[in-house]
Amino acid sequence: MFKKSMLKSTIIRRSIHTVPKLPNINSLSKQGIPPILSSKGFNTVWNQYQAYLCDQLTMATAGTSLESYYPFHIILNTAKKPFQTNIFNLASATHNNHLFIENILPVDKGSNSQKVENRPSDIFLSRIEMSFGKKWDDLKDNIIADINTKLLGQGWFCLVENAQKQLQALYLQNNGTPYYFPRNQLIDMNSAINIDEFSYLQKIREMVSNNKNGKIQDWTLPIIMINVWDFAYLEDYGVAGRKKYLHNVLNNLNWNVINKRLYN
Amino acid sequence: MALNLITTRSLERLFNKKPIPGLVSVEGWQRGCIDRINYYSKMLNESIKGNELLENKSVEELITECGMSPSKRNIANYASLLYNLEFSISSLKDTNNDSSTSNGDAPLLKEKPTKFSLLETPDLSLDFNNEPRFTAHTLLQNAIESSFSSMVQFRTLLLNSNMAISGDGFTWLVARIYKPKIQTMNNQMVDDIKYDKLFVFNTYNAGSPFIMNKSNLINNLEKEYKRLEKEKTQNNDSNSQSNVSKSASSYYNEILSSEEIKKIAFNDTTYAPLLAIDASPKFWLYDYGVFGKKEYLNRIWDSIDWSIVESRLPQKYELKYD
Repeated sequence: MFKKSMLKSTIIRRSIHTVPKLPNINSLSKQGIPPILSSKGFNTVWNQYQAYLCDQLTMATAGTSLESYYPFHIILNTAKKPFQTNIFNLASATHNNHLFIENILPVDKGSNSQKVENRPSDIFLSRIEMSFGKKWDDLKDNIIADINTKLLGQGWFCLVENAQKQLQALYLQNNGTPYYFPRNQLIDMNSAINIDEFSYLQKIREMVSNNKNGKIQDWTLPIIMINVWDFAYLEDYGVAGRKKYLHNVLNNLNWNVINKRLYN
Repeated sequence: MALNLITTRSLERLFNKKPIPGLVSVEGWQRGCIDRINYYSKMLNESIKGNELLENKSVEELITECGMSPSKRNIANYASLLYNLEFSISSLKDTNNDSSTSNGDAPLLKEKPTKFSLLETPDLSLDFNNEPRFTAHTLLQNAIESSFSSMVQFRTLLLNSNMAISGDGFTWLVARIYKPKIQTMNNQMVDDIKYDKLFVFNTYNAGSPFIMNKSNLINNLEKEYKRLEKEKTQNNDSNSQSNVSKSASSYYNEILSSEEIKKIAFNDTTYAPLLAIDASPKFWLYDYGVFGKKEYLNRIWDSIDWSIVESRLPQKYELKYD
């Protein structure tokens, strides 16, 4: 009996990607996530865009060896295969957008007797100071300015923790992933690049081509993820309002989620 | 050379341009076009502020002169975005044949496409509402058919190329202008701008059809990188031979070491843009929604004003054996 059910569950493992269920999805759809997203903005970036990504990912992987993988595994599997970039893009966007919506979910205020605090943990703050040499509040302004110069088109901002437990800021072009550094997509190759950027690319190229075993180890983990695609801010903020949007996101993060992502 | 073909249009003319009925709504036009032009020109003006030499230059000059310089990246990027956007909307027309009904806010989609539109069976009919020959632009029709085999193949290539852009970008129809060496012998022929073939390609983010000679830049960077690496290894260990990055860069070496290829491929060739299609959600998200890019592209096709596209077509280059 046991054996039979085991077999069954391995064979009919789900291969359809669906939009993850969020707590209080009904009130989120009605009220949005103030002050970051209106209800219309929330519907676009989550109810519609996430559904779009999931459906497209399902269709792109159905009937292939990737169909039983989670988006995370699809990212790692396709990151090294340029001919599967379309699948990589979908999987990476699906995963990133989930991380994004999780870390901006409104914080349940709790009852009067038990107030839930929403603030960065002391470990986070001290880790930020150690890694960047400045306070979190000052760093936020730098991040906004850097996003504006580095992400000309679509992209993601990701604060990550690397294997040495240092925090780093990554500006991912289009659908880059924080999990595998050759596919971070940190440089916009459509503009003229300078020698530092070229050296960085060349170093990565050497690492990838000299690595005979084909395994590059990257233990980076995302701590904060911000969606800088049009689907996230265009509806509520307009083309020129991206700075305002980033400002609102960075000042209204859900620290209960983020503090837990950090290595303690 | 390609610059000669482009008439520099003033921005005022652009601001007066009406929304395109049947393609975007008034609000969509404001958000997807006017706001962007304002924003890009503000950013461009900020980045050239105080530099008198650059302030007097046209957008096209800024792209070609700053496009290869990493330190002037900002200038080239916003100039290029401005140019690309402007160029892409310049060849669009009202899709309603009956112009009396167009009152600015023309009938658009009744409903935005939903997630079920992803599952629709593709329309296999090969009859299009808008082809150059319908408006007697046979020159263009013939040029397209000889370069892409048929109008069906051209439309598929053009729209699918745009569909494949996942972030921001533009899909271009360009004419390759090729100057054979023989022509330079005869002074009268030098000014003749002729094309031999049409091509479709994509540019991403602020990429520009005028900056096609990226490999030169990469080549120089590669040389600089090798020099730096050599210095480094010599400092570290004077005995070690510099075999740095041989495997990784062999691809570039193979292709770019030959000066001959570079000359043929780049020095005498430019690409004159005829048509551009914007892929950015900034243009279509408001009217078409998250699932609407396909519908947007179908309507873009119907909105192409072939008379403008044809007017940009240079003379065809033909080999004569007499």
